[in-house]
Formats: sequence, C-alpha cells, structure tokens
Amino acid sequence: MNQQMNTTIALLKRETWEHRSFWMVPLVMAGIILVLFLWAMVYGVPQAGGYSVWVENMEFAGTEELGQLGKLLIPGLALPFFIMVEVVTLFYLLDSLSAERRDRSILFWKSLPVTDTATVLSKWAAIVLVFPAIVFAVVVALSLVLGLLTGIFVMFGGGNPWTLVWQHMNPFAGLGATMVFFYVETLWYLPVMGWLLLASAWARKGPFLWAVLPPLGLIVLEQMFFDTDYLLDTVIDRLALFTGHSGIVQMFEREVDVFDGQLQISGGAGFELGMFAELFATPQFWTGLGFAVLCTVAAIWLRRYRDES
Amino acid sequence: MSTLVKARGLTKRYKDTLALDNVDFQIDEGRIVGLIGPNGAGKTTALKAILGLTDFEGELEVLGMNPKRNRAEIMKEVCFIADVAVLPRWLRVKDAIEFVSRVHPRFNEEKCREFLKKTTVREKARVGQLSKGMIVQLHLALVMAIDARLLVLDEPTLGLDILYRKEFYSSLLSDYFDETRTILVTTHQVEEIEKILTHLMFIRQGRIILDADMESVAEQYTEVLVTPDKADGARALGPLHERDVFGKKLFLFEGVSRERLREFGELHTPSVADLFVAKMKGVAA
Repeated sequence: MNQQMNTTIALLKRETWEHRSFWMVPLVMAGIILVLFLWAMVYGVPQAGGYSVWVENMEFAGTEELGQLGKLLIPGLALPFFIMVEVVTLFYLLDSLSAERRDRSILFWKSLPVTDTATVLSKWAAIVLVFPAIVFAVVVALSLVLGLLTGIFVMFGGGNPWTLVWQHMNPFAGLGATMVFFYVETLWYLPVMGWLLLASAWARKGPFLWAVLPPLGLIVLEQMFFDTDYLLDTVIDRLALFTGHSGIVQMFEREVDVFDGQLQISGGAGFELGMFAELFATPQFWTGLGFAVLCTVAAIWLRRYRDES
Repeated sequence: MSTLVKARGLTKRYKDTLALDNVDFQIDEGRIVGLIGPNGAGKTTALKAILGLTDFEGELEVLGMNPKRNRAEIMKEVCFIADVAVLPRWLRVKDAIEFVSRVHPRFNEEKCREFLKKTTVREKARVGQLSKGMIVQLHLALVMAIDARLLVLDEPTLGLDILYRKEFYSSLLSDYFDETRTILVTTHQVEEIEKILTHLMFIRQGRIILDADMESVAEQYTEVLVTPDKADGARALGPLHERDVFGKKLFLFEGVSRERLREFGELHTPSVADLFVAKMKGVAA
C-alpha cells in the first residue's frame, strides 16, 4: 500500500477512534426505533384487534401497495437519522480543529509527517463520507431487522410472511434516492459546515460562540445601517431543513413523487437529473460552495501557521 | 558528518518582545545538544522554529529544507516530544501504534512493542487511563521506534517523578542513541542531562551566550576553591562568578589556564548548573 493511501486510512480511522459517536449515536437511535417497533408489535397490535385482523388488513391492501410500502421503508427510516446526522455534524465540526488545541495533542499530531491540508481534509471526509456511510449501513441493517421481525409477527396472525412482507423487501430500494437526497442536502449545507470548521480552527475555547456571534453581529449591523435583511435571509435559507432555498423545496416535493413509485431508484433507471439541475443552476449554490472552499483554505492556513503558545 | 540544522540570523518577534535576536548556530550529526536557558529566554521558540511550528525571520535550514514550508516533509526524519501528556486522552495505545505506523515510513512497529513490553503500559488502555509517567513511556516508545535523524525534546521530563526521569534518559541513551542520531534537548533539570550531553548551548534573552562541546567547556571553565586569605589574589584574575562554600570562596573562571589557578586551591570542572548560574548572572536575579 502506498504512503498516501496509508495516511488517508490512518487519518479516517483516527476520526472514528476519537468520535465514538459515529457508531454509538446511530446504533442507539436504531435501538430506540427497534424498541418502539417491538412495543407496537407486542402491545399495539393486540390492542388494535389482534394479529389476525392486522394480517387481514395487510392482505386486503394487496401486493402493489405492500410493494410501495417496502420501497418507502428505507427513506422513511432515514429521515430521523438525517436529523441526527445534522446534530452530530454540528458538534463534530465545532470540535474538529479546536479540541486538539485545547488538550495540546496538536503537538503530537504535528510531530508526524502529515500535512495540515491532509489533516483538515480528513475532517471533511470523515463527516461527509465516513459518518454517513456508517449511518446508511445502520439504516439498511435496521430495515432488514424490522422486515424480518414483521414477517415473524405476520406468522402469529396466520399470514404468509413471504408474500406479505419478505418478497417486498429490497434493502437497496430507495437507498439510492435517499443517498442522492442526502448528498444534495449536504452540498447545500456545505458553506454552513465550512463556517463551523473555520470557527473551530479559529477558536480554542467556545467555538460555538465564534460560529454564532460574528454572523449575528453582522446581521444586526446590516439592519442598523442599511435596514435590509440579506444576510439573515441567506442564513435562514441555508439552515432550514428541507425547506430552504426554493430549488431544494421543489426538489424535495418531486422527491416525494419519486418515493411514491414513479421511479425505480435502485436501478437508477430514468433518474431525473433535471431536478437537481435547477438547484445547480442557482448562483447561490455555487457561491455557497465557493464560501465552503474559502473557509477550508482559511482553516488549513490557521492550523499550519498559527502559533498559540 | 553532516549538519542537520543551520541557523543564521534567526530572529523571532512576538509583538514587542524579541524572543530570538539574530541567532546563529548549527547542529551536526551525532551530537546530543543541551539548549539551556531561563524561562522566556527563547528555547522553546528556537525549537518551534526548527520544527516548523512557528514563523520566523532569518535563515534556518533543517535537513536542507525550510521548516516554514516543508514541515510535513521534515517530520519524516525529525521527531519531537514537545511536552509531557500531549497524547490525546481518548487514544488507545494500540491505535496510537497503528496510526504512527501508517503515517510514518520510518516507524518500526515491532521495536515499539518491544519497548512497551518493558513497561506496564497495556495496549488496550486509553491514554486517559495511564499515569503521567506511563504516557511519557508510551510517547518515548513511539518516538524511539522511528528511525529519525534528529530527535527534539522540549522539557520531556517536566512534572515526572524522579524514577521516570532517570529511566527516561537512560533508555534514550542505551536503546536509541548512536552516532547516526542527533538529539536536541531543553530542560530545567540541568543535572539530569549533564552526563549525557556532548554539546552545550546557553540562551539568554534571545541570544546564544555559550555554544561549545563539553570537552572545551571543561578546558575553558575552571572552578577553584580558595581559602579566604587568597581570595583577593584570585579575584584579581577576573572570575566570572564567586560564591561562599563552607567558609571558603568558590571562584569560576573563564579562559584562565589551570596552571595559573592551581596555586589558589583545589581545581574542579564546574557543573553545568554552576556554569549556567554564573553565565546567567544579572538576569535571573
């Protein structure tokens, strides 16, 4: 294995060692969902008429509808995970370049032949590639476990688990669309994430305040001197989950159509790239990416040249 | 023999203080250099400049490279222990070994494990669970397993108890040092490194006021224990420093021949600590 590859692996593993939340948080979340599911199966179903009624309803719904439900499983499960990902991302990025300075371990990392550029880029890779990959793996595994258990409960009601549940399960149905959606969202959030990274590189203590107060101050100044809200609107537009910039809204609405079965995403057949083109055509999308790049360059520069002791 | 570090006119300004004032020095292969000075004299600044951790003015070459631009490249052949306990608390011992092994082309994993076997450090432990002394042992094991040309140690034993301190330097000498290695070390505890140094550098207020090998230090500097009746005669030769020892006077001379001093009393080679005090006179007080 060449040196660059080895360094990359080491840097990414390092992030998973430091941030056990990468594993723990999705697993805990999956555990909670599993417990809720079991509670519904063990207490909910018997109270709502018992397993046989439940199975009858399923049979009544018919194959086509059950197939639709099967395809919605992964996107549906993924949604709460996405919200969790944003929260973990926030804390991760604020911590990413300030924790090593707080505990002075930066002196250890800097005693090794790893460039500051590689280190800072590894933070990006960890949070936009490694962590989501873990989350997607957990979501797929959870969907399989839930499907398997549903089939078993179907048997309690005298149903055929194969025709009612298992034949409709495709762990990759909807996964593609879900991932595309996640990454388009992530691209939209990138400037916010870059700003958090920069705040982390800048502040040893209180990176959150450094991330929040300067933009807040600018927003207030803008209102005082120009009586306008451009910055505030820009920030809200970036932060609003799923409802931000109009491009995103439209895209999300169409995404729902996609989930309703217009498109078979797993094969990628007929994926409408056009709906992203609208977003990619907006200047905001590109200025946002540019801002994220600028923040990253500044963070690298700070880690490389700032002398704090 | 090659020169590993060459500084010419090295200067570092912090706002209005001059941490390094136009300093020249060089460090050749195979030396163990002690860089000694009071707090704020510029020791750590000099090391940081060498390691590419700080900006500076003047010329500085480390392994023929400019540390301002080539930090990561230099770190392939230069190691440093900046301070005790800079290993992050969450890091597991085995992960630390894996990390260094992956990023460092000159790291020998087996050697590192051998060093660790002699200690009580367990590979499954996290740094946060280790005592200060054990963390230093781990850090030293990681660093000694790297085939580096220059090892830089900045107060490596600060805050350690005496058992670990002794062991630190003895394992450094017996398991690591040879004629192809070079060590640059700063410390407050001059006594504990005095025996292992080949070269001595004193730094005071950003200037190097002594830069010599230990043999020439022994030739240049002489301590004479003089009875009070001969004190005036000895004083006439211009001692660097004098102090009272059990009713006698102890003079420290620079560049005065031993033949001339012998008539005044017993001759000694001053300890680095005594020499340091004499050279720093007027600053520390």
